[in-house]
Amino acid sequence: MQPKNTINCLADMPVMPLTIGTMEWNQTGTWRYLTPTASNKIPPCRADCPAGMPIPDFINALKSKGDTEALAVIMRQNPLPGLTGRLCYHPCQPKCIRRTYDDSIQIQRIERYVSNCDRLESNAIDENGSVKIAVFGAGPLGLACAYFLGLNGFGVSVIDAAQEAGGALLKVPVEKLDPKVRVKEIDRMVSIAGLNLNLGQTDLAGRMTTIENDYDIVVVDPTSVEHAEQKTLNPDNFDPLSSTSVVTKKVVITLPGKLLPFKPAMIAHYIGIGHLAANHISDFIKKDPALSCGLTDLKEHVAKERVKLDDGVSAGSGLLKGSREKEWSEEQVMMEAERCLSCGTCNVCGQCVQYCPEASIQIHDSLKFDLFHCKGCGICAYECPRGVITMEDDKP
Amino acid sequence: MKKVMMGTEAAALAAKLARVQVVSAYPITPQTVTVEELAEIIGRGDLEAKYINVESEHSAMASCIGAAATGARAFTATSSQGLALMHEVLHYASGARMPIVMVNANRALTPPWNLYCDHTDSLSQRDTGWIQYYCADVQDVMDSVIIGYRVAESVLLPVMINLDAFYLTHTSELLEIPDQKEVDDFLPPYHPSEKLDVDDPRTFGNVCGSDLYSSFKFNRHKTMLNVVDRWNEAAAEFELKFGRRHEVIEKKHTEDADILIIGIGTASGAISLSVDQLRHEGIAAGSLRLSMIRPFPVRFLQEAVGGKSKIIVVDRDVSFGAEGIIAQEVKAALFGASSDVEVHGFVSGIGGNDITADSIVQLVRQTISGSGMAVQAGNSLWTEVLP
Repeated sequence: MQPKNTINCLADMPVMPLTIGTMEWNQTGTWRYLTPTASNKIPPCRADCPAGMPIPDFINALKSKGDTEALAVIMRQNPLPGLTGRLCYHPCQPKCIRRTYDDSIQIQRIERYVSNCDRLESNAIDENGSVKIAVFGAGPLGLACAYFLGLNGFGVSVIDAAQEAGGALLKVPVEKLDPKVRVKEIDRMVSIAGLNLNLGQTDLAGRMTTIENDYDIVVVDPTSVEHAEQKTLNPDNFDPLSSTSVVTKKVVITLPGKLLPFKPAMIAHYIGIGHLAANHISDFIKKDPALSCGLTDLKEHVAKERVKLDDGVSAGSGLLKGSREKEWSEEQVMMEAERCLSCGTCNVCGQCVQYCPEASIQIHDSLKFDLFHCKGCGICAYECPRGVITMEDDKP
Repeated sequence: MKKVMMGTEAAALAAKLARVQVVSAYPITPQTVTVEELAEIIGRGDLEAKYINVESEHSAMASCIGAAATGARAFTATSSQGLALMHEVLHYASGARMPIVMVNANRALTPPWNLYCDHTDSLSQRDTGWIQYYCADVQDVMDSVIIGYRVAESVLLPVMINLDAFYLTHTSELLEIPDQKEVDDFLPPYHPSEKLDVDDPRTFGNVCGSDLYSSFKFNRHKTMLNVVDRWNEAAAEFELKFGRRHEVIEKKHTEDADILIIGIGTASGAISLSVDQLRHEGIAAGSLRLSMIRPFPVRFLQEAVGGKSKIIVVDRDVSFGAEGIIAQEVKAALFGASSDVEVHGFVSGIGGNDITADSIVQLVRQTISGSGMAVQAGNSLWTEVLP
């Protein structure tokens, strides 16, 4: 949009009295070569979340609509918030912009509180129920992969030799993780995604061929107890972080060395990779990404390995001793949630309006720039506390 | 030399060009820029003057009176509440015949608190014996301060140069800055015949019985009546030197006008533009800006009004229980001189409300049709009031 009124010489200027509103004739938008654009961005906390959790979104949902709605927002991206809320090394928190003012938001505390909510109904869709998928192993990665496939409407069975679901999670000491929490978390995700749990299965290796014939797709989980040590090279091996697409019906998921053996603190990584694998498998099945139910492409977030852990060294084993942390009260959690600046998401705070020297920004439900008068100075983009406004080059 | 500056900056630069010797002031929005600017000018050594920091506007005017009594050229600036606080000494300044020039930024009086344009502050000092001039633009501010000293020192009366809060104090405009040498020619140093001097002691402001008091007042009144002509003479000389005219009234299309719109200050710009619009619509409108309110240019007004059927007065002020102050002045000036003219007084733009060419056109339409948005109360019609 280019202004129409341009002033090329003094004679072009209209005669005008000294009043308030009369400078509008001077459409200074012609001076602009950078145009402010407001669009929600991925906030730094989410960018560094290995599971790609929409952190400001769930905190906003908690503040405005309550914990059930907040849990629903989380569950779109993370099936096990009660576990990530306890075990994860929370790489989100050191990136929190709020730390530049006082302290980072205790995101994990809020997440843990929201995960305690027990009112959430299934929102699985029954679209591709005729497609049958078997996931070998009920470890966190396998469960996450099964969960997102289930959310896509596929008929998913999780098969494990153990009597309980959890795979490598079963080995986490009780001082670190209350087994009741694990059971509750897995029960919830199983019910939401409509999964079929086949536990306590014997002679899985022998029955593999039969099972492969019974199911359209077979997925092997590296975080289950039986498959944790599996390192044999196999033509079916699939690394969701580096492979671009699934090509075979049997998908043996492999992980980079630093994620093996299973490290509880890195649970969000396993969830993120499980999600990514589910997306690849969905694409393989549907051959049409447009039908993949609006799932976020997580590859970028999951691929970000900011924390380097040496192979074979357990993540902070000292943390596993002593007693578990105490839960926060609702009041504490809500006060913490209030501190969130909701970075990346415009919450029409009006800071840009206050600072715009040309009064070229109006707020109704969203930001609206008056491009006839905006000179493109960029003060709005500089002042936006959430990084929502960016200056874009006008020239094609 | 041409420069872009705000009204407040122009006032400060004009005081410098007038080579004022004493500046005594107390800051108040929206005048503050003027005294800050002068403090910088004096601090830099660009003007040889004494800058007195005082604790109130009352003291600011009191020290200007003291300075002027010693024969110094004194300057101050204030606004609204500050001007009201000066009230007592304003009478003293004119009674003692001190040729002080003061810049007043016309700002609304409190409560409720409001920093914006309103003329009630200076018009409520109408009867203090000060010459009152109302500026229309930034150039007018610059030039009228210089003309103000020339007139003040020739008649020994103080001059108040008024500029609209924000519309003039904080609006930047292109203006011509007079050359210092030419200003010096136009405004020679002030040397009063009588002044406070320790080497030549005299008594000032002594007790005076009723026998002499009337004569003092009568002299002051007579001198004041002549100021209209003195100002126009000085303005004519200024025009000769600098090429710009700043008379006590300013007319546009008045000769063949049927409706005459009268206003003061920056609103006159909007009024002037509205006249163009109205003429385009076939309405014979003309505009008249009263740049001088004290003394009131009665004769000039009577001449301009002759033969018109309607007069519209736009007041950015009010005398509660009466009507707009300028409307009262206009009626008083026309009483007995022009019997068949209708005077319609509007109270508009007070507290900083914008007066635009369009809003003036609306007032004219209401005057012609008899109905419109302005609400009548007594003799005045008010715009921008809640239902």
